[in-house]
Amino acid sequence: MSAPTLLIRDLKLGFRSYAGMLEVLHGISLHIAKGERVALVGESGSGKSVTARIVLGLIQSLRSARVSGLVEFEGRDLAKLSERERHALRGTRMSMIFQDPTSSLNPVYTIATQFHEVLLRGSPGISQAEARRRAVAALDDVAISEPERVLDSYPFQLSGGMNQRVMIAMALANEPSLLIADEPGTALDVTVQAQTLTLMRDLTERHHTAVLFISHNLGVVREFADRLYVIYKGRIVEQGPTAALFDDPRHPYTRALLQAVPRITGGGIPEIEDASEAYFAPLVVREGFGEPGRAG
Amino acid sequence: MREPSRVTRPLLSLRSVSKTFTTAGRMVRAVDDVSFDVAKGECLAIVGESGSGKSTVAHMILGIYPQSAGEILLDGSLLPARRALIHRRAIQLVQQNPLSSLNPKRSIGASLRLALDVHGIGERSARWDRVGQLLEEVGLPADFRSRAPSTLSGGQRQRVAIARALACQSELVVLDEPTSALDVLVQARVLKLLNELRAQRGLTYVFITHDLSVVRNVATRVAVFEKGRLVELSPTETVFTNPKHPYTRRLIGAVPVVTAQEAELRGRLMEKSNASA
Ligand SMILES: Nc1ncnc2c1ncn2[C@@H]1O[C@H](COP(=O)(O)OP(=O)(O)O)[C@@H](O)[C@H]1O
Ligand SMILES: Nc1ncnc2c1ncn2[C@@H]1O[C@H](COP(=O)(O)OP(=O)(O)O)[C@@H](O)[C@H]1O
Ligand SMILES: [Mg+2]
Ligand SMILES: [Mg+2]
Repeated sequence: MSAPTLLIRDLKLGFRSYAGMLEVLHGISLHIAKGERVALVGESGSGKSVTARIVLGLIQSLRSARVSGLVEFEGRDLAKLSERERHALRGTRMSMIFQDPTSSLNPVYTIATQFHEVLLRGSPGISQAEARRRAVAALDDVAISEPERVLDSYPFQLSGGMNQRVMIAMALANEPSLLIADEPGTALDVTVQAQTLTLMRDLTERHHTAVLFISHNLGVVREFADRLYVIYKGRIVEQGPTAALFDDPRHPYTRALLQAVPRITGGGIPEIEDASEAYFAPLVVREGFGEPGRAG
Repeated sequence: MREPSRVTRPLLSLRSVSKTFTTAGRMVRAVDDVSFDVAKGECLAIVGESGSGKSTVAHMILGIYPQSAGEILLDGSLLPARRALIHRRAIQLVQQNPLSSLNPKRSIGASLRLALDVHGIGERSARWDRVGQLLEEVGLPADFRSRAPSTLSGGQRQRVAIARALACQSELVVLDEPTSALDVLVQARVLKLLNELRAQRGLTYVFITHDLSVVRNVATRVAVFEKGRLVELSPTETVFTNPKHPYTRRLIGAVPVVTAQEAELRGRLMEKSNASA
């Protein structure tokens, strides 16, 4: 069996503060096989974004952060890479999409210029003309009908939905093996969000890109992910295939989270605890859906 | 009955209300010839995508700025462009981000007390106790009076904002995306509180949100806005089972759902939408 695209084992993270050590991740494990779409779902502050940032190698260098555990990308231990090697991975083998497309694009450069930058990381020395040709093809892939016009625009001249598509096109431009999407489209309207999710799913499927999909929105996760991990206050509490978890959530926290989502079929608002000892119950793993090399 | 109109008179009426903004020489018609009534005790939801004019409607109802055309009536009387204290007391606002409306330098209790002082509600000497009661009515301990807004969680702050709306004993509360910034477990508790308060106190809500699954579970009727226009206004049940406007169907069709029954309902509405397209 080839190495999974991403393997995280017993990852712990703490931040030093004036009040002492703030423990944020209490030893989480997860993996993503080649081409697999995996969601990490939980409430705000549960540790989703820091997990993504550790994978991207962005937290290890913070003076206040203390990281331990294993993070392997395509079989390579990230901790054994130099800062330069980690930097070289970002935007090439692994790339990311953030929540707010408009603010993650640079407002003072045209889309064409930013696309050229992105392509240079994967293909050093690529000419402007060649970059433009590839950018047009990439924008075409995300169903942008006038790629030439979009390339000559600044981000503020485009709608939020259009910027989101541009972000997706850029993130996939260098054919990464792992895409990290941190709450993509949360800032967009539902109709636009639905379209961009479909688009992202189709494209990652076509290119066999593995995805770490981060979201607090269970509905969005249900529609996007093959498999999911539920995180509560820095601990994974349940993991398994998406359909099984939605049909039959077994951990008290997963149950509460699911129950709390209002239904378009009605039924009112249920009485649920927003905090409970039961939410700290041990991890629930579906049979056959444990971590590689581990029981469960 | 000698005065039949009195029984059925809506608490709030908008008659052909429009709002035009001019920015950088460009005219934006944020709200375009909108009319609707809000009955006493109901929860009228206003839904639509961002920029559809929802908040502008809220601001006009509250008198934060005047409408460009049309009339707004409260309990049958015309609301003036410049609202008097009594009007400001009669209609309360709960916003998405309560921090923006709570003074960070003032304790929670002082902010609530200010509302009582401004409107001269209750005996002066009893007001501090009243503040404690108000907090308890929204499910917070009375001793939160002395806390600073920054020490509260998002859900707790939203409860304080609701307590302040209750302080003025107004019948009409405009809620503009009141739970959109909250986590789903916290949202459920705040929505439950809002539902209970409306039932117990006979409050009337104008409930603005982009989240249709919330709407389904709190609203009695739904007004759908598209680009400043009211395109559909129906009882909640009708909107979710037999929406008339294609835009409404598209909105419901895009809601991310968590159960098979919901997916089925959504699929059914989309089919109709495609059939009529
Ligand atoms: N640079 C930092 N320094 C200190 N605490 C941090 C830092 N980054 C994140 N945190 C804390 O770590 C926890 C998890 O944050 P995050 O991963 O952003 O949550 P989310 O699940 O909402 O993405 C939060 O309590 C947050 O305040
Ligand atoms: N103060 C303002 N000045 C200029 N334009 C405004 C102002 N407030 C709102 N608008 C415009 O009016 C339209 C409706 O806005 P808004 O009522 O905030 O929408 P919603 O709350 O539905 O997202 C938008 O096009 C917005 O840009
Ligand atoms: Mg986050
Ligand atoms: Mg608004």
